[in-house]
Amino acid sequence: MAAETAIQTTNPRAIEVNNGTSRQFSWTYRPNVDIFDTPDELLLMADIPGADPESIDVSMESGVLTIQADVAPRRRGAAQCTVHEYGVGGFHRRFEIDESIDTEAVAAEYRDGSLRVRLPKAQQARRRRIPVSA
Amino acid sequence: MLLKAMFNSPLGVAREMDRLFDSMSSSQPFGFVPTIHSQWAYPAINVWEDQEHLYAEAELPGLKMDDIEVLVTEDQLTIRGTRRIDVPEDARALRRERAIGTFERTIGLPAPVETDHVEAKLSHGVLSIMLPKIAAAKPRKIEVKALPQSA
Repeated sequence: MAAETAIQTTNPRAIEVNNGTSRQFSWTYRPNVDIFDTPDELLLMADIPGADPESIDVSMESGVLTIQADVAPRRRGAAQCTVHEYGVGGFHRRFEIDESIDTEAVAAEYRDGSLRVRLPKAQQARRRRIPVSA
Repeated sequence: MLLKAMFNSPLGVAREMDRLFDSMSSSQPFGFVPTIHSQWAYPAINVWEDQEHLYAEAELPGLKMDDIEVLVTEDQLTIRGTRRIDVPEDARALRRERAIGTFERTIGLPAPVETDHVEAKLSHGVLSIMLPKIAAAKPRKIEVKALPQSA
């Protein structure tokens, strides 16, 4: 597994999309994520600013969690771009998931440009405190 | 055929996958928390311009308007604020890529603006600022008078 770059405000990953009719070029970015492990669940938070809430797709299939979102271009009519420091495009990232996640109970919410995915652990995978008798 | 499948796939050629559980696959040292560095040009800013306005935009995911201050002079725009991330109780970080901390960024504006009429809004983590140009900076249409033809 290749080591990842820890922090970048944008992670450009060029993907050429050919929808069959017209050739268009679009950019897809890899969102920055935090993942926290708590006794009951994993919590994944991804930055996907500007994503159209309707387009956000969080899916679990064959042990893979996929996060995908479209971002509409934010061009302003006849306005000309004079300073261009970052690109705008959709987001995509995948994670291999351990089977100890209760996939049916995965829930996601999008707020302030950040996506929050809660992945509850299956009962047998939860951390339990074992009483020690003296 | 394979090539077609690759280009049609939203995953495309840039196929990559991370392991959710495996903090070892991360290049980060254990316990690392990315912090916005004062030397970073953060946030990145895009600026557009038309005849009447300048439009500035920055991506600030996870922030609320209360976390952000926008300061404008006639020829400078400053965006500053603090990004906090609530870490759940009793949690162990497996991966931390979202930087936290205080930031301040000032850019020079390509045209002087009316500071009293600047509007800023925050939507889905995108800060948009509309700055009307002062009258003197707007392009003016010069009437061309047709002189009577001299005979």
